[in-house]
Amino acid sequence: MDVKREDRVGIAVFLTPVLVLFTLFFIFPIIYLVVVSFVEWSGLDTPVFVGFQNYLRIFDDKVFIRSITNNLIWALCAGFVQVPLAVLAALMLSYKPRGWKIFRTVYFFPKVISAIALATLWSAVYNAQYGLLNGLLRVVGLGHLQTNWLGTLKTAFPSVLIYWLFYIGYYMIIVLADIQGIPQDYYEAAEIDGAGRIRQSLNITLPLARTSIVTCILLAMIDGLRQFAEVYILTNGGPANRTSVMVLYLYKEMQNYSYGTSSAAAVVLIAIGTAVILTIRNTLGRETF
Amino acid sequence: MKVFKRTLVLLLCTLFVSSFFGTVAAQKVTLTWPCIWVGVDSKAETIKKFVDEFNREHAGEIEVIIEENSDYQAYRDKLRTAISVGRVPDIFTIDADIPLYLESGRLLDLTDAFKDGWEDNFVEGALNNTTVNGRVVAIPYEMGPTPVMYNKRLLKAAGWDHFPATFEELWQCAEDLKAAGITPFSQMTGENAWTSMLWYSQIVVAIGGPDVYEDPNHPAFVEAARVLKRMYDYTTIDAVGAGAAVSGGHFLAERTAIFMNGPWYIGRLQREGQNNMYDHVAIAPCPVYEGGAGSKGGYIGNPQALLAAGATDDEAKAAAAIKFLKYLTDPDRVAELSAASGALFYVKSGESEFEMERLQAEMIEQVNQAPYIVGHFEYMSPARVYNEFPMALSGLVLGELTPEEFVEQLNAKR
Amino acid sequence: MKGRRRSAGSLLFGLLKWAFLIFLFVYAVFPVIWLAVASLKTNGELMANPFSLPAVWQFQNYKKALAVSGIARLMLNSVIISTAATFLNVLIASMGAYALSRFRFRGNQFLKVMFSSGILIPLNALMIPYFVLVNSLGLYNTMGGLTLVYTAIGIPISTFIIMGFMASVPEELEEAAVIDGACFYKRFFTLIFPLSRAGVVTAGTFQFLTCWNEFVYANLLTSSQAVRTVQLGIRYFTNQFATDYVSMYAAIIISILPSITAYVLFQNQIIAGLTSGAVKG
Repeated sequence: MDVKREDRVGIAVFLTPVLVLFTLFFIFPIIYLVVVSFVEWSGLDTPVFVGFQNYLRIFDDKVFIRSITNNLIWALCAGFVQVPLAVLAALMLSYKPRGWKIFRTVYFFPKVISAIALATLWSAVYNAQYGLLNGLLRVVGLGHLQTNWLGTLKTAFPSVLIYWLFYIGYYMIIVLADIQGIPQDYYEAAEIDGAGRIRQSLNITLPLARTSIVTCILLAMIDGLRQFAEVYILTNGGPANRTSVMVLYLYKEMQNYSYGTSSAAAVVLIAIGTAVILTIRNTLGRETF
Repeated sequence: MKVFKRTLVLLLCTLFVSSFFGTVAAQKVTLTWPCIWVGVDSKAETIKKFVDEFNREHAGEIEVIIEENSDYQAYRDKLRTAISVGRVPDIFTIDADIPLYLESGRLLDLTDAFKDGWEDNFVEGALNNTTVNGRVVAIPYEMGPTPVMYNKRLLKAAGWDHFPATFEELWQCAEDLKAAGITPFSQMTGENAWTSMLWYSQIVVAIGGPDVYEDPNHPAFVEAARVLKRMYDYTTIDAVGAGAAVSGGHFLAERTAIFMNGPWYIGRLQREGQNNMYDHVAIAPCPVYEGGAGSKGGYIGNPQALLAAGATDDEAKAAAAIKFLKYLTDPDRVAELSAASGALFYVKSGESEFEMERLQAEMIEQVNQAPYIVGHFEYMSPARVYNEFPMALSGLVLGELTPEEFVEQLNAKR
Repeated sequence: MKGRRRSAGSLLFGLLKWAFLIFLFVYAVFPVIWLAVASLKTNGELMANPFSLPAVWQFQNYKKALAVSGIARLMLNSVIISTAATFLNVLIASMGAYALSRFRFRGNQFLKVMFSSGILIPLNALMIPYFVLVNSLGLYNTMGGLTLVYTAIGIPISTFIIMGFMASVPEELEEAAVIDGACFYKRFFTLIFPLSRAGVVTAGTFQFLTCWNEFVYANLLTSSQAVRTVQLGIRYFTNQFATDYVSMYAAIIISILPSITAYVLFQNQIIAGLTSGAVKG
């Protein structure tokens, strides 16, 4: 809408709290990060200006490059595997099969368990000595595939990523609710045209649930880009830095008393993240966002 | 450059002016202590009792307030953050990155307090760890000797009635154990690679001698990497990526015969060891490395916790902090704390009504006989290097790095 | 009505559907069951075999979790802080989202991009600025301080989500309201806000879960048990040298019981909120 004179005050009033909070908790800290990214500082000594040295250092570090790659893979898998799975489940449940409310409830459970519990469980599942996964492989006669899942260069990162992709409850609920809000008359018209369920889903449900689906893709990708707790507990970035991600990288730099490189990594993460979000907004969500 | 420093300082100042007003000193001095000895920690109960007693003794005069910090990594993060912005806690403990803290100028200078004979409470030479430019700025408190722990029952099953005295014997013992169907070593590259890091520390000193850390390019570091990698031929299949719970769990469940950890682990052997395995655990110093510069009986151990106080201009507060530190390092109290928790200290023990636990007593005896006690790798290295250790180690074990490259990767972080 | 000729295909389809739904079901319920069983073992048993049943069910783990960490009090704090921070967050974000998503004015695009840049800010990197900020506001070790921080950290993402849903409310609806003489505030509270319920509830649940599970700042910005949250209660069992896993799992079970109960009880309301009933198109 174009702004009418009498709306101006309202807009100002509505924007004030959000701007105040954003300034205090985001603008100032971002300025802080940018400033610190140009100094060498252990936190215990006097900061020294070093120009772009910190940026050169982290981009020279193959662990940081790997972290970026891992994060991007993670974000893509989250947005384009995890969310589609969630949409699929939501479509199935939208026809209210037997027990659909129980499914809906249980799918959400993992979201309320803290990351620390989920991660310790999965490290036990993946364990080579007494792990559940190897046990399962033995039972179904695929014993030759047994390995130390979190401890080899090849399997560590896929293992950390894949278990997580099937926890779809949160996205499923958002999409399901949106689907259930679609008025029945759309479907009645389609039934008359003789469209089957799959065609109805493709032509009516998905387009009408677009906002929630795009929102979920964004949330999932954001989650993928700022992964930390699960990796930290499962592998701490190992073996040989194969599972490192950006937030873990910058956290370790802090533990190394190197606030400069840590902040530089944070600035890079913010830049990459903003680019990804704006790309999604300008492609998938151009009508709504 | 100046401008940048100024902007940074200005930024912090403008944002946070009021933080500099701090607490208004009333007549009563309060000391806050972000304490890690809380919750289920073995020292928690006794420390709480000490603090309560101290507060009662100094009622209306000094009050020590414990801020509970059970999660250790979170404690480190918080301490680093608080000190970075100049809000140094009144009393706190540190365990790593000692030089950084000691030289930061943010710790209370305790030199004068030590002039009245306080030093006699401590084992000889202990204060050398915490003296910078002739000033004592922290107190070595808890000691962390980390000997070999081994399961006599399992060694016996492989035909060994004593622990190997040399590395040649150790390899033979490992072969025999393996032949008997027993996994010899607990190892781990997950988390901070603790147990493997301790083995590395042992081997480095066994090869290079007690002064090996003076030269980070000492060939002993490469040789020790080779030895440690060989140990991974005799460990569990989940060792790469294993955390403390996994590697310790194998020893407690008698799936491995040889383990390495400190006195704080004794309680767990008693409580969590399967089939009363605690009764079969014995301890030994690291074996001697043939042709190495290390000596028989040499020990790895270092201050596991240093007590420190925040630098302050408030004389009453400084005096109160020193009073409290003296109270905590009183020999009788330390004896009580040691008996209650199994931990060892740099304070000479006073008379204790408690009986010393078996392994703890052995450890003290071995420490007393040790020709030298050297800090472990994590203690002796800067944060950058020891944080990289687990990554370099898993690379070494998985064949991505040669022993030479392993050391290079660590030293590149210096 | 759909024709018998596709029965073979639809049988297969049905089979696949149920396999998929049941797989996800098992996948989601497994951690809860495992956690419940593990919380009744001893640490020794857990480390010996994480998937075995306990020899003796160790109910005292729960006693310990309740007694040692004082988790009841911490949970109450968590409820207060998370609820307040969620309420404030979605209110403030909705107001901002309304102004940004439904009015064209200069700087509008700039503000939208600016807010998006806040979404990906890694909170771990902000320990120093937040610590100083909260201290300088005199809010260190207060529930208000944590509430304020939690309200703020969710602002970019909530605003972003709600904006998406608000933008999809057809313009004609609001214009009709303008013609009826509804003022700015009235249009927000009686028209746009209710019609964007789905977005508000989506953002709200996300926000609530973030607050409930947040650990770093809960630890950094508090010092006494009186204001701390349940996540600290859970970490109460992770110490310098050892983690008492079974007691920690008991604490986790205790801490998730209310959320699961609340979710089961209120899910119809939550879902109804998500089902916006907005006019699609």
